[in-house]
Amino acid sequence: MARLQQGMRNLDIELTNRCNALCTFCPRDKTPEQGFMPFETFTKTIERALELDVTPKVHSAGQGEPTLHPRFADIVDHVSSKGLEYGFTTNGSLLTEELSRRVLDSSVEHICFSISDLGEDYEEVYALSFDTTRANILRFLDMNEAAGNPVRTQVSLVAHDLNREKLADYQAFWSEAGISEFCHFEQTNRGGACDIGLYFVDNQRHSEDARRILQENGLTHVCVVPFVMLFVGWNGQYYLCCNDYRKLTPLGSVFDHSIEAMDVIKKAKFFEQEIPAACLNCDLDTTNIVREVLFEIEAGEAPPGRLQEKTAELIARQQHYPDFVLAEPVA
Amino acid sequence: MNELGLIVGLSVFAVVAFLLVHLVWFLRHVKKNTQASAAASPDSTPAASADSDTIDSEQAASVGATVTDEPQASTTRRGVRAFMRGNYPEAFNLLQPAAEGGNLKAQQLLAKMYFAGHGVDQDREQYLYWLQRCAENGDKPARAKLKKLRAATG
Repeated sequence: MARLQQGMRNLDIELTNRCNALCTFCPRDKTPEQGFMPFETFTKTIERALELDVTPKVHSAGQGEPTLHPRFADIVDHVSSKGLEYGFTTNGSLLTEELSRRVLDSSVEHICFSISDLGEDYEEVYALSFDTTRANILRFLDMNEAAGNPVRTQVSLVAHDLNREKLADYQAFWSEAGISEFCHFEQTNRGGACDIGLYFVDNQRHSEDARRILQENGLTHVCVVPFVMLFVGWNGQYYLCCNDYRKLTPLGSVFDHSIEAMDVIKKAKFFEQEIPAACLNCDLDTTNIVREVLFEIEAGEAPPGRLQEKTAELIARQQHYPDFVLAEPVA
Repeated sequence: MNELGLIVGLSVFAVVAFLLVHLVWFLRHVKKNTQASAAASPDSTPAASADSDTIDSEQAASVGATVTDEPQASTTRRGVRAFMRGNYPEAFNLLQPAAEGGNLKAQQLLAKMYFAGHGVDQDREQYLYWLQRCAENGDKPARAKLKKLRAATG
């Protein structure tokens, strides 16, 4: 089996899918069961990561707020004891002074603050207190600076209707506070859990046409995300992707399968008769990307040339895929 | 003079060719849309117009999806689409009937439109009204926001 290219893997370990925020762009309430990852499951997942020839970058984002985990500080200590670089995404609202100190004493390499709005808009979108979040983040930044900036900090900004015109101001606000890295995201439909008005969702029209177009252009229908953005849910199950908000496609436990064995299982999923439920309505799925363009052309929203542009874009993207994704599945 | 004639001739040819290509594309598009409209209900989106290809409700339920062959559902989808693209007046017109009819997604977006003044005048009363409708419809964030707003106003 061709190995995945070096440095391309990220492992997202979901400590919990519970969250204290209620972001309007997040479909977390679609998650049927909510819980915290048992500590033993976390340590097993770390073992699985260390089994790989090339250790993936380990991060906790998942579908919830990692700092809600009752053993979050122990988790951070455990990762440090294994010498792994670790990072997490947080809304910052629970980043107390004590937790900040614990994080700074560990080997946490980076923190991504998920904070796409400020002030009243923040409270409308996140249903959290902006003053608390701002105070926590500013205090952490001060403590980090005093410690010589051991933790890389970034802000993730999801563009939506309220902030689209204000993103530059928000970035300037956090830049002034000492953050230099910013990740900008457009909203996706999170595996179909979010309705963002896409045509292809909940029907199968244009599927055959899209598959033919992929084939004619030498494009694989296999999604790259499950192989480069590995995802382990709080319950210790591997899933195809963190966008499987409804946990529709559990693939097996970290106690039973290595990450490499799981690669083969994931790959086989894409060659089964039925499309994996997690991908059926996902806007990251290559077939669905082409289908959406076909719908847009049909609706008169896009000229026919849009299809060629999109396939060219997909071809360029596919050139970066690991060999394993492009190879035939193992029988 | 001959050179000028050639330039003018080529320019005219280029303009005519350009117009022809776009005319053909336009006519094809009109033809397709006419066929689609004839086959579908007046209010349906392209996504909802081919009944034979639409997954059935059992399949949809198995993946937590909703079938979009209901006229209201397709109108809502177009409304959501317009909202996502910042076409707020169009979004408002499409979403308001669905919101009145009890569609949660439409209600959520209407609340946001009144909150932000998207396509409508900013209106706190209307914002709170739609937030209340969302809360009654089982929307957890709306409930939390209302609770907080009530606590703030005593």
